[in-house]
Amino acid sequence: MTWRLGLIGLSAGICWLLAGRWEWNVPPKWTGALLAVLSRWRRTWPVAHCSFRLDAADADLEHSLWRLRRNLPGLETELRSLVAVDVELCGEILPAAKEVIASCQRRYPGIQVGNPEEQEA
Amino acid sequence: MKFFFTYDPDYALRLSPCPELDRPDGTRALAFLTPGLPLGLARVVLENARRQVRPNWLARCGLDGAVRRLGPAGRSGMEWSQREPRAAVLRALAASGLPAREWAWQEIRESRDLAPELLVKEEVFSTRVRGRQLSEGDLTRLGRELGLLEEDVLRLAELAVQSGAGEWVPALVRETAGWRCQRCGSKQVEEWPDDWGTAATCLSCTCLGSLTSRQALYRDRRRILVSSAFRFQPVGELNSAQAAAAEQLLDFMRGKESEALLWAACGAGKTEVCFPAIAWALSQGRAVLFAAPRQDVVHDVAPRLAAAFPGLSAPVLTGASSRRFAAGELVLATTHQVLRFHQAFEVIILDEMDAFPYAGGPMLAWGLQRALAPGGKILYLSATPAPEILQRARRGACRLIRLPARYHRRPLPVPRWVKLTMPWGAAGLSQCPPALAAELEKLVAHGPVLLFVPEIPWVERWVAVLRQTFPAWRIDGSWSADGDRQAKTARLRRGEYEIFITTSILERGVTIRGAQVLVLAADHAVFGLRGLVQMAGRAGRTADFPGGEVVFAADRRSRAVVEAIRWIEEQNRLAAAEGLLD
Repeated sequence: MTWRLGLIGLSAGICWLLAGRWEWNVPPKWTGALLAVLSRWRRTWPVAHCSFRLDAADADLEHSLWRLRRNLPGLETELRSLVAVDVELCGEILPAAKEVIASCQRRYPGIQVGNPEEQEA
Repeated sequence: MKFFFTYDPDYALRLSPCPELDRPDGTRALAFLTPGLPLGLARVVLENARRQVRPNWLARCGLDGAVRRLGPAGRSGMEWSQREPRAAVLRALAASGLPAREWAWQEIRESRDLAPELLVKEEVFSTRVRGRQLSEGDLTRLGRELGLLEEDVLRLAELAVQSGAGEWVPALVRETAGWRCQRCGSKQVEEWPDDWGTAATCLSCTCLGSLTSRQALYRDRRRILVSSAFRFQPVGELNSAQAAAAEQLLDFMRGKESEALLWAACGAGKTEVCFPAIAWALSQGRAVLFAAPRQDVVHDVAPRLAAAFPGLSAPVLTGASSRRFAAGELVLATTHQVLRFHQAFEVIILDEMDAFPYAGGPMLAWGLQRALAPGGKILYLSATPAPEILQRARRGACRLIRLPARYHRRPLPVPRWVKLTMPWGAAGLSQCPPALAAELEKLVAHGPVLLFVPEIPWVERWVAVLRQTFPAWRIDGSWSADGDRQAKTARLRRGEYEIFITTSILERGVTIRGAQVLVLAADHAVFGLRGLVQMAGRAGRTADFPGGEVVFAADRRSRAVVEAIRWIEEQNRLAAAEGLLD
């Protein structure tokens, strides 16, 4: 019994050591091709436009935009549609908020943030 | 808001949101580092810079204290003697792991004094912010109330910090076990990425405005000014039991104990019993806070306090208040608004301590303790105290004062259980069951009926059904989110309804002349012992209608129903034993 247990342990140890060598990664070419197919497939989806109004003076503006961005893929999958998000900022945009908006537009390209009053002007 | 490292040649290195105000005098240049950082990050860098600094030869000889410039007492920022603090800050920034920025030290030579009109507003600002803890959003709103620009109100706050009257603290701080909100003490946050790394937003106190780790809180250290020019004018006389309780409260105020519980029967007049103690505290120059978890209670107490203390400035702060930053020596506030104060009050009276939302979580209790000045006293008022505080009272950690009888010396109406079986709820209800209609007719003959239901959707449904059943009666209802709530409650107080249907929002702090009480589905899971006792306590509160009837209509006698009836009977027995009933 003991030698059998030893044998099992030894086999497990050898498997453990060899497992790293047997590990296989998807080649980057394959990944690229797969993503391109997925992207082409997604491009055939219709585009839904969503508009949100946020307060420009809200201290948590950046966090709200991040939440929006985080929930976008889930929404797209649920709707089976691409979602284009426009965020309208209400109220006066102070210099600090302008910095936040610029940073968010750089980081979240799928979300358009703007002030309707400025756009009209 | 961004904070800048500022450095003057006199070995002072500190953080300031307005570097142009930070000049020690008008003769030397002041260096400040651009761009600014959020306060939380800047403080960490400052700490690291301090660790890197090698003491100079004066410090090694123990003489640095002699040459270090001492700022005003309590001034925020850090000062030390060193060779080159500016380089140390840059090294600490490089080692901090923060994203790279084009850091540059700049110099200010020209002094920017405050505009004369701003200096005029400074006194008003100081009066409004005493004892407060304000977020950047609060400061902006305060600026609007005072007719000031955002940058001007920041300058006034910074001037107060420089004079030692206030301090800036990061809104959320990172502790070993995670983030903690400095306003509400909660650790429930959501982390998110920003340009500086990982930020966090507090999820618990958003009703007061969002608070993130990238913001700062302004804390004012000054005591609330208490004017001695007020009169205490009791509206009615206290009866012997109330006078005895008031005397015990005065004794508590004068003594060394820090916590007391006034356990009084519903309608015992516990608020009025506190008035002599409040008057004494104010006469001693102590700021007083009267807090309650619910707006209705605060609005009910406000006119009574105003009548007893004519001429006293007593702002009412609730979520519905248009002026959030009014100043006064006696503040009435909901427990959420108390989170905007820091060590401000020597005396705090908390009414209805067992009510939601105060009893729902530790956040508001934490805020209340934070609002108490060191060495201050808290007095809890309740008709149905929670087991925890009763246990503390039994252990002697909290003084217990009892007032088991109503001020008109008549017993509490004991609820009657009526078996009523029907498919409860909003769904499927089309007409009033005859047994219930008969009960309502009996009750309405004695006075307006407060009909409590366990769920919000029931209110509108039962209003419709009862209007159909009793077309001649004036029937309405209200719930927490009802926009017309205050107007309807005012009409209810004027006796303009035969039946008023409501949820637990009116179970406390409301007195309606001649009210009769019917609790529908009293065995519902949302109705606990304390809630049922409070609802029953709405009947027979006034001296001209001391009777009143209370009906618990339910399919079965739930444990809460049985215990509530027993609780009220016990109160009546105790009152009778002490000779407090006629």
